[in-house]
Amino acid sequence: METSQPVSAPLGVPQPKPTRRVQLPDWMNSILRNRKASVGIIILTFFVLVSLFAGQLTSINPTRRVGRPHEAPSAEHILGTTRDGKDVFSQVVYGGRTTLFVGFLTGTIIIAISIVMGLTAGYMGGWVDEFLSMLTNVFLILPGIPLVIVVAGWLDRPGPATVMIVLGAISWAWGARVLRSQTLTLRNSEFVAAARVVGEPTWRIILFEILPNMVSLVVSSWIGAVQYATLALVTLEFIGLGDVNIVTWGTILFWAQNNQALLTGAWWTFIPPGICIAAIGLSLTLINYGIDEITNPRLQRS
Amino acid sequence: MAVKLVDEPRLKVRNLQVEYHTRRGIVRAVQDVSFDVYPNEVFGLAGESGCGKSTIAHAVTRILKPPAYITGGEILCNGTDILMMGTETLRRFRWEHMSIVFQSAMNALNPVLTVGEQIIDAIQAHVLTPKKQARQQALDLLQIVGIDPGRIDSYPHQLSGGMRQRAVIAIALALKPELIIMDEPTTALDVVVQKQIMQEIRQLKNKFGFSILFITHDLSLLVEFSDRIGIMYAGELVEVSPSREIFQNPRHPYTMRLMNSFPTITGPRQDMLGIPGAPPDLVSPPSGCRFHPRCSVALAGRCQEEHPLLKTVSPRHEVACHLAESEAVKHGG
Amino acid sequence: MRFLARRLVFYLVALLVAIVLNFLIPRLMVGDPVQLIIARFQGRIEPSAVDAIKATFGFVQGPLHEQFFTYLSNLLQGNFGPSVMNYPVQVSQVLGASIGWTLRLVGTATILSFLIGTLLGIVAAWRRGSFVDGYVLPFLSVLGAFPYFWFALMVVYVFAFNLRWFPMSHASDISLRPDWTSWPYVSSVIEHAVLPLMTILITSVGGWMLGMRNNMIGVLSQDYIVMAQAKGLAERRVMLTYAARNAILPALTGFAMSLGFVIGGALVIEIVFSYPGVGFTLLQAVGARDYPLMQAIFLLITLAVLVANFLADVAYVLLDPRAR
Repeated sequence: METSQPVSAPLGVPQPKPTRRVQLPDWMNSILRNRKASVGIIILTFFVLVSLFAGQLTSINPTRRVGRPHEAPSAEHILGTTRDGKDVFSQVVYGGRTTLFVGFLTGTIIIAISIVMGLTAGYMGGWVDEFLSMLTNVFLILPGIPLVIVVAGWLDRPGPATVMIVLGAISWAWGARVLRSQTLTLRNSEFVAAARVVGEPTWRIILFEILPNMVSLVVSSWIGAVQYATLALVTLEFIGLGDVNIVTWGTILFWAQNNQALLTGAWWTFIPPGICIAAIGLSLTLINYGIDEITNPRLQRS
Repeated sequence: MAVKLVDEPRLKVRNLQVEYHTRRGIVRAVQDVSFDVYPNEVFGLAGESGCGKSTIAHAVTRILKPPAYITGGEILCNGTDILMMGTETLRRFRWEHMSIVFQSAMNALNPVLTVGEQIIDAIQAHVLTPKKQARQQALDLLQIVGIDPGRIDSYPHQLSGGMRQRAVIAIALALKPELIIMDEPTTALDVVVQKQIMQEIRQLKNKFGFSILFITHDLSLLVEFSDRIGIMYAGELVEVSPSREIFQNPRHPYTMRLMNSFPTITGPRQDMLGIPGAPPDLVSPPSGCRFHPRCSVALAGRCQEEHPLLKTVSPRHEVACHLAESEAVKHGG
Repeated sequence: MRFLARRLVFYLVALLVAIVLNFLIPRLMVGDPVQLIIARFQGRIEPSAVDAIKATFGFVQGPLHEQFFTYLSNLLQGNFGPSVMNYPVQVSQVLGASIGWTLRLVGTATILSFLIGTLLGIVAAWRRGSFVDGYVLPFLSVLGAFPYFWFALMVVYVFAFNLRWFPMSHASDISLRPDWTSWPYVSSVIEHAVLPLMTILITSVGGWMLGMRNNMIGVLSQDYIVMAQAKGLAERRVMLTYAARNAILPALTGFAMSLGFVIGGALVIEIVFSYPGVGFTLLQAVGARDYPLMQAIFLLITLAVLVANFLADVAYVLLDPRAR
């Protein structure tokens, strides 16, 4: 009898051997090769750079009165001035720094809670999973924005840190659900079984065997969380919950709305921050589409 | 098993060529394949997974989707080329003349429609039939394939695996086509049910007189149920012969290996996995005979350089191998 | 039916969690919530009413669970207490006046958006790379990246301020007496609803479309689709009865999960248009520190989301025999 050797290459398509010039993890390589993801990364990088070099881009203090009210864009104030005579360009540049920072931080808080909830539920199973899944589904279905509005109402103009924590505490469910199901799959895989047999402690298995194997999912959930957090924060700032004296894209829009910018035709006070918010949202969406296309080949165009 | 080969073939496949356009390049999944299926005949097509047998089944029914493209050849059914048909002609042709049974019945049945609805809509897509009459036909079909007609309003998930496969066969029979393509029709089932269903398929075939193009990687089923067999390797047909002949006297080294690694017809189920080495990469297939890197009797020069073509070595027995050919010359001389 | 019963139990649990949150939030605040409430009411109501208001929040003598049951029994009787900013009008009356506007506007917009998005998603998946798939989908996705409220601002600026095609705010012409039998009033209501409706539609339709498209693409690779085509069925029947019928099932689950998000966004749109629905009222309540009204609105929105989810479940059961 000949030794039987399983032959399972589908239609003669062996694993491709990638040629690498730079030593990057495979998934990073494929992200950079994906057009949608690259465009997203370029847009995001642009805004990060603008935020980092805000001081070099404009010398005008965004909170100082530097001109007449509602000046139209000119050489001196390239995006005009607000009703209070503050420079809109400088506000958009510095406001972006705060919005991006707070958005990313909140997204990170959200995903951190998602990871803890999702991995615990998925790995522990049993009644722990039952309970956490129930909790996840409840928080998934409760309307988040109204809940934050109510909490903010009781808090009486909460600071950014408070809003971030509240948003994190109620927005983790989506990520937790996705990560839980992936954990369930990985828990039954051979390498996890092997680690269990060797006697590795549970926390080590979760941190070093399971988590590294769902990096792309964690990254895409994190990006989704950042996007959600940014949009939610801007929305809350726009309706005047939180500290309206901090310059952010949301508060610029709040003041524009409150100062009747629409009725006076001062479009320069509300169009630029809106486009910036959309650009950030779009860049994050594109990056996630890219990741989705890479990990879900069915969506790829032939 | 008496098949009159004097008849005109029901299905004539000529020089069929199918390519998969992948990122790595063009995969030549089916290369210059020709064969015939005669009336009331079961023609079995076998080979390792990835050899192109399922691709042929899908090409013949024209259900290949990009990135797979038919790039050459003819598929003649009752004399008309299926590849030349326009959308509406093809739609009318399908199922009336040729139907297909898929590997997994669970996936082949629409989970949100009852078995009856799925039979009836096949009938009504082709023949103007009042609902009542179509339903009666569906009841009869279920009876024929051995399902209690009372299950007509059952959904697929309410049926057992064997019943689902019978339901798929009932759908395939709905318009009494002349040819049924069966792509691994019983692989998902356990051995007992498998044999039983194949037995019934044979009886139905004799009763209704359709032909079967039978795709499988299960050698025991293949030899037991086929009248003639075509062996495929790396996208090519390497041997075609009546099934008894190929079982007793295989001529291609690849077929020999398959038959040697296969104990008895009635023995345990045997997949075609017992051949050392992996099938070739079809983006850049080996030169000469595609089997030569895995062949233990390959000739150093000729088999590496010259591509063998199917040649008749004895009546109704064709082989694509330089060695078999030279033997044939020897026999003849 | 067991599926629906299980879902119903789940929604009751979710509602209970919302009630508990509502109950706990004021108790988790720094400072004394009772004093906060009284301070807001100071000078506006007679002191005898203060106790009644405190009771609606469960601020009674006794341990926490007794407080909770007092709170719960008040809720079950529909007793939310008086509204601070509209004193002495009851919260339930304020809600009664605003809920209709929201149900009509946001309800219509959400259902329309889901239907249109789903249809477009079916077409986009069926014709990959076509105009709908290659241009409409990316365009709507880009629109979906804009914050709802900002899009509302732009719509107001362009269509109400510059072009003057539609009114800028409110739900009807305030000079008209509300009378659903008079055409001038009804037409004014419709005219006022166009811009907010468009805004919700345009910003939310892309999400449904993308979801349905991706579900469809998943379903289209199934054997039963290939078999339906091989059966020679008409293209429409394969697309709708075979592909879309199956692809819509996960979309219904997605609908349930995204609903809270969409409704949250839609409520903010009410604020931009000063549309007198619950979203606008909620913001006013927050501004006036009208705690009784605030908490009642949150519960009402939650209840609406849960009911909509249950309806989605019923639709699921009707469409999927496996759930029966």
